[in-house]
Amino acid sequence: MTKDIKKETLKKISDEKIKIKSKSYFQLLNILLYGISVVLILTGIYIFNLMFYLPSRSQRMLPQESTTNYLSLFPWPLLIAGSMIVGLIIFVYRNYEGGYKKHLAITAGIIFFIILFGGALVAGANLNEELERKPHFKRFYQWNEDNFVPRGHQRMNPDRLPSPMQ
Amino acid sequence: MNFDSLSDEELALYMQQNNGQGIEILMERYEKPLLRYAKRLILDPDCAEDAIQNTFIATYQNINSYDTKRPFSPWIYRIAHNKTINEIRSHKPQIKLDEINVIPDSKTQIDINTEIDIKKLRHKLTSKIDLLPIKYKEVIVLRYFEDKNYDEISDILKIPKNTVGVRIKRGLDKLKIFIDIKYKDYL
Repeated sequence: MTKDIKKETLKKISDEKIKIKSKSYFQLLNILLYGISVVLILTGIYIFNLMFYLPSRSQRMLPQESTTNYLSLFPWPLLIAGSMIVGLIIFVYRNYEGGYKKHLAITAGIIFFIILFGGALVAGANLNEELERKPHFKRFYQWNEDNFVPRGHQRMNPDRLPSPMQ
Repeated sequence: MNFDSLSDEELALYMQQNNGQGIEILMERYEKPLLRYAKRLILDPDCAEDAIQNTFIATYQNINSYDTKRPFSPWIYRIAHNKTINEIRSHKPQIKLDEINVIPDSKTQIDINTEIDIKKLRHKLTSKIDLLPIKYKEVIVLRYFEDKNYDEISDILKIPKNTVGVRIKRGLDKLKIFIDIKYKDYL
């Protein structure tokens, strides 16, 4: 026997005191979604910026190895991390109204290009050098280089050499 | 208030402005088509009814998220689709269907403006459609049983319009094995 869906639904709404979610609730969700998108885009740009900046930093600090092949200092894990961020951005974008209508490969290509180009622009600017002047950031950059730049941990960093007094 | 003169979009706006009043009118309008859609996707009629009941509750709760500038029908079908898929996942699996291996002809161009003779095809599809994988079944049900156009199907399933066309083509290709659809004759 089929049930009376209309009657049962109205009864359930009344019995369980189901309320309508307010407009402000959905507005807040939208703001959150936009906020997450912006944070993801900025994070992606910063990661790609690091990817471009760290090899040149290593080369700069190792003048005797200035001819080192750029690829041998390339931080591949950062490329993977940046690509994962791009994937997340695409996932969020496709949840926007109309986002799913765009061709996935084209969307992915455009987002990847924007993040990559943004990262290259930031790496070309003075931002990293400025940040490195602050002790916390200096340690952060050093950590990134030690962990993500191949042979980065091997180089003779004057900052890390034991002091002659020790 | 005479609700009969209101379009679905106007009724949804009325609900937004009046704390959900008018939901019963919406249920009267959509119960039959949504239940028909759910029953095509899910083999168990009780589960289909549960899915549609959950659809109306979700519609009531989330009516303020509906953008009244956009058509209402794809919005509520989208909710019904999600609830039906949830029901399918939470119960025993449907027939496992990828046993049918058809390699679609990638060179075939699909003209999405060309329509198949729907009445003739619907009659042939009815008995065998349950054999299809869900991703083909849903587009064929929406297109040939619910009379939705490609734009609406794209909105309901949240997939690009071209993907809708490709899935319909592949679904019909798979069904060709079971029934004599000479659908190219209809194109």
